[in-house]
Amino acid sequence: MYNLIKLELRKTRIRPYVWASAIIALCMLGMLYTFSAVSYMGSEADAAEFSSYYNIMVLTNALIMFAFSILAAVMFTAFVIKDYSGKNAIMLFSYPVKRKSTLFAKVILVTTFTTISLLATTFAICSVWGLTESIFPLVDDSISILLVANVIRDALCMAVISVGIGLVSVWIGFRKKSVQTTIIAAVIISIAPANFIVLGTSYPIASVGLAVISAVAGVLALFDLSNAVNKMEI
Amino acid sequence: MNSNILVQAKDLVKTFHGREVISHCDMCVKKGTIYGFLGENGAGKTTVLKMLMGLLTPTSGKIEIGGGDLRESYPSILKKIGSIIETPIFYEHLTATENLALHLSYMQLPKRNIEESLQLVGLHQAGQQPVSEFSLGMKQRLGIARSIVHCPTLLLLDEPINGLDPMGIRQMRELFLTLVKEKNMTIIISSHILSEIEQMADTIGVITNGRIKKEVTISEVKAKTPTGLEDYFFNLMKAGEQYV
Ligand SMILES: Nc1ncnc2c1ncn2[C@@H]1O[C@H](COP(=O)(O)OP(=O)(O)OP(=O)(O)O)[C@@H](O)[C@H]1O
Ligand SMILES: [Mg+2]
Repeated sequence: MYNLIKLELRKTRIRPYVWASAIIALCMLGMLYTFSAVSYMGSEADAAEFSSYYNIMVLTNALIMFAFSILAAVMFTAFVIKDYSGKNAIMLFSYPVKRKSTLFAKVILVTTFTTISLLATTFAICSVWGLTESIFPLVDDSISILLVANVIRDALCMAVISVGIGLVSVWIGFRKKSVQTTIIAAVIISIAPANFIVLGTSYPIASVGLAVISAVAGVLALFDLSNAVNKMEI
Repeated sequence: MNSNILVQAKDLVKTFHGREVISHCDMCVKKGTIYGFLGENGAGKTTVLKMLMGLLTPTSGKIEIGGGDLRESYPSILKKIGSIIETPIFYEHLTATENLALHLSYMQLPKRNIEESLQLVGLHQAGQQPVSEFSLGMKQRLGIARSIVHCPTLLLLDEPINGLDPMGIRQMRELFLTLVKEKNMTIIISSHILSEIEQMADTIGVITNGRIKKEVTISEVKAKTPTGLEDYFFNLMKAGEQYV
């Protein structure tokens, strides 16, 4: 399996996705400060949503999840949709490797990359923000162990949700072997969860519930996808 | 089963959306020979070759390669098969050498024979060039290099000389003959260039409407039609099975 993943990396460049993640991280950092500024300047009523570190993090998380779901979907189009379309599939299927193994290598690669880059993004922006907040606080709140624990839990949930949405989108796009369908599916699917995550400001458990649902949906999508690949005729 | 036979297809049927494209096709290819696979456009050559390498699953019938059922030894059997199905495709941003190295890795083999294979198809000077810069004929040559780089025992070549220049066609013919003689490969080659097939094939299989109409040795062809394969082919198409 490790070898198959290495081969995938030889075929498809990963660097553009590293750049994309870095750009997402910068945008998210910008959002954190925007929300903090609202808290700093706004009147009591305006700033209710932005009044605590946790609430600001929850709002940012919804955006992080949205961005990384789309990144996951774009990576799936490059690693899965393109490789199984038309003549590429002839090449892929003429190797003495079980079809499911090749697919799993691709899925593991995209899943790992999405998870790591999402967690790294969250860690990086929180570190910068936490540092400046401890020097020039914009938000009238304090950092606690509980806050850190909640942020870590939510970040893990966001990773699961993003991968789940990526998998469901590639499962939808795979029927037509269409890049556009996959990406549009990811955009549409992530709108509802993004709104749901925002509920986390009042119900912190929302993200955990959503992560469980996404994990189940992702596994089902992967299961059906691997059967489709196994039965594929070209 | 006769140990002289490498590929045997029995009663193959393939239907696409209810239309029978291959109907009760039988095929028998001896080890160490070149099998010229002929037929008009749409007769079913590509479909049969795809079934021989498991890209398509037969609706019914049996395929044996090296005496064993294809389904049982799939996909490990692919290690012993080299192929070009229609126009070959590559990872365009990689060089010719990188593409072959990648192919060998997928075949779970060490990176050897790359230089030699490129040399054999006349691409030794283009090894470090990205495939995106290749011409049609160069890609075709690289496809042939890829099909032989892992030293398969069976080569399935679907119109491999398409797009080659006259020198290339001759070089490839000589290459195929050498592979059979020196590496004991078995080749199934489909082509519309009958004069080429005539010069290399040991056996001819003619497929019409998804059925092998005739399987004859090249000497039988010459005995029947001294003017050559082209006339034999046309007579066969006109006269049907009676043309023995
Ligand atoms: N995926 C498919 N779906 C439906 N019909 C198909 C499919 N693939 C092939 N066919 C049909 O099967 C028949 C045989 O096609 P095939 O490609 O095997 O012919 P061929 O002998 O290789 O022709 P050519 O000399 O033009 O390459 C054709 O009538 C074609 O329309
Ligand atoms: Mg064809």
